[in-house]
Amino acid sequence: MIEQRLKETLGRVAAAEPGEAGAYDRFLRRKARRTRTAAGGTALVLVLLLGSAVAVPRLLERLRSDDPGRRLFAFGQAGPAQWRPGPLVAVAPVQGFEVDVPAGWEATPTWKGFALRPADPGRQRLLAEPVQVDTSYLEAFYNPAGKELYHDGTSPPARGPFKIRQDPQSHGRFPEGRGWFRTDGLDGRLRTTHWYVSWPYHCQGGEPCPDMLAMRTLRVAITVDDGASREVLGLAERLLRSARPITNAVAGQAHAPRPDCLIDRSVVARRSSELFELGPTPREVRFFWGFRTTRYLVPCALRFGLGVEILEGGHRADVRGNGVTVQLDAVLPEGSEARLNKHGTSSAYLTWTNWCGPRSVRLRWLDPLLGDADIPDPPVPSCVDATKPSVLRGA
Amino acid sequence: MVAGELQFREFFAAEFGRLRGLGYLLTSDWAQAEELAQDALVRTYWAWSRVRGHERPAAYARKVLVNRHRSLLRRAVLEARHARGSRVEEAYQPDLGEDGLVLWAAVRRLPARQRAVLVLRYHEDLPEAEVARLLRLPLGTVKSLTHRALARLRAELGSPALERHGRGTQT
Repeated sequence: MIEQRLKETLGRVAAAEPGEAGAYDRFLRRKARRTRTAAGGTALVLVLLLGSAVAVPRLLERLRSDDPGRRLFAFGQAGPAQWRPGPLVAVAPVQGFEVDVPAGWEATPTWKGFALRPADPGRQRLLAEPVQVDTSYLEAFYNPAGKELYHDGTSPPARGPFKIRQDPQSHGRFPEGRGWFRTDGLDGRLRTTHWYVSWPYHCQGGEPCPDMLAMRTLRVAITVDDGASREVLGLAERLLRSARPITNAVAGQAHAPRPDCLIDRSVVARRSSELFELGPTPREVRFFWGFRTTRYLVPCALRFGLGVEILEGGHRADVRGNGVTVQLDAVLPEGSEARLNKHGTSSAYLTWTNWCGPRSVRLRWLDPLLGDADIPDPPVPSCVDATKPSVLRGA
Repeated sequence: MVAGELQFREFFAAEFGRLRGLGYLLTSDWAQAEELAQDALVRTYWAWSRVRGHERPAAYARKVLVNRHRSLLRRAVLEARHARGSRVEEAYQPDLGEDGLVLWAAVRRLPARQRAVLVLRYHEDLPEAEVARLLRLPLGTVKSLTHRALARLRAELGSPALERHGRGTQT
């Protein structure tokens, strides 16, 4: 019954909520703001008296905001949004940047950088999305760094794997010399702006980097009601001009510890099983996993075992190495094949050979990232020598 | 702190999570859900002297939240946001299993009124008449929205396109 499934799913979604830390404090602040807004004339006096109970935490918050050393860190992992009011320094050691969050705005770490919004709830509604500050790949043709690299008329490399928005484009240079590129789209009253400055990436230990990393940018992405776009664009410009490179954006500086890669966020993964014909016979089965960094170029680590289990009649089949795992130990976006590939990629595979048993076997992925699952229409290798064992081995 | 304040604080601790969960089911956005829940609780606070005598003050807070969501939906910017779909990248992904993720993805694609009807009907366990009262819709409209939403979910759950929302897709 779909109604029952729906009830269960909605229950699980609602129960998966982020932590409630600070919720009551936020309530008190909101109540105080609402009080000020609603009050007028003599009511204002009453409000001030009632508000004394909440004024102290608010005052303390403001005092903390004045601390120039106040820093908010993003570590490249997903989590519940916990907003903190500016002024503060938003530091993304994994992504290699830090920016100043001005007063009147508040910030929360995201897995790819920071999200910002006005501290005033009334003004928050002007944003269709919080302002995103993150790193992103930008093709050489548009990239300020690419424009400098290829300004002499030489051809930039072929287009990269990620596309920019097809909105009107502009480019220029801030007074201090930093080149920028921008797309501006208007859909009804909703303005979407992506604003980029180039942001170098230096591979750890001076290792050569994949070509695409030279095209990393620091990006501010805005989706805002058109009437408020001037103010938000002003914020974006302040962020881009105040941004400072750290860790992997500075040659010779140590990289921050890498978080685990997040599927479909910092890494795209695919897996497949294929029957390989080695001439007319024999045939072997290859189980393949491929990993590729996403446009956000968030440094992350792939460290886990990948395996396959072959089952016959409900039991593990007599295959040498059955259930074996290959240990993946790679970092993105550099990738374990950095010298061979222009992109941050990594891969692993297992090979199964010489199966002389029944063809009705069941195969299962053993895969902590994409999940354990049956392999549909399981391929089976050819029988080469019935006196020798069937073998599953890593490569 | 006076007794009413203490009582409200207990009420806040008991109801905030539930209200925020309801907000998330309606918006797919934890930040927006928090806004709705906080807003509903602030309004409930101001009416506390009147509301706390009710048999279920939580129902009052829920009504405020649903009303607030309904009025926000009318705002052009938020409508545009819903039309564009919710922010997948920053979503706090619940662990639902493959079937649950597919169903939740289908719910998120429903029009706002159909989705609200399903959430109130099947998550909040409200009778159709109560859903109609909360959403200020005729009872017949609620029945029709429920029927259409379930039919759409059934159709989507059976479609191969939905299966492609599974893992291993390309950016």
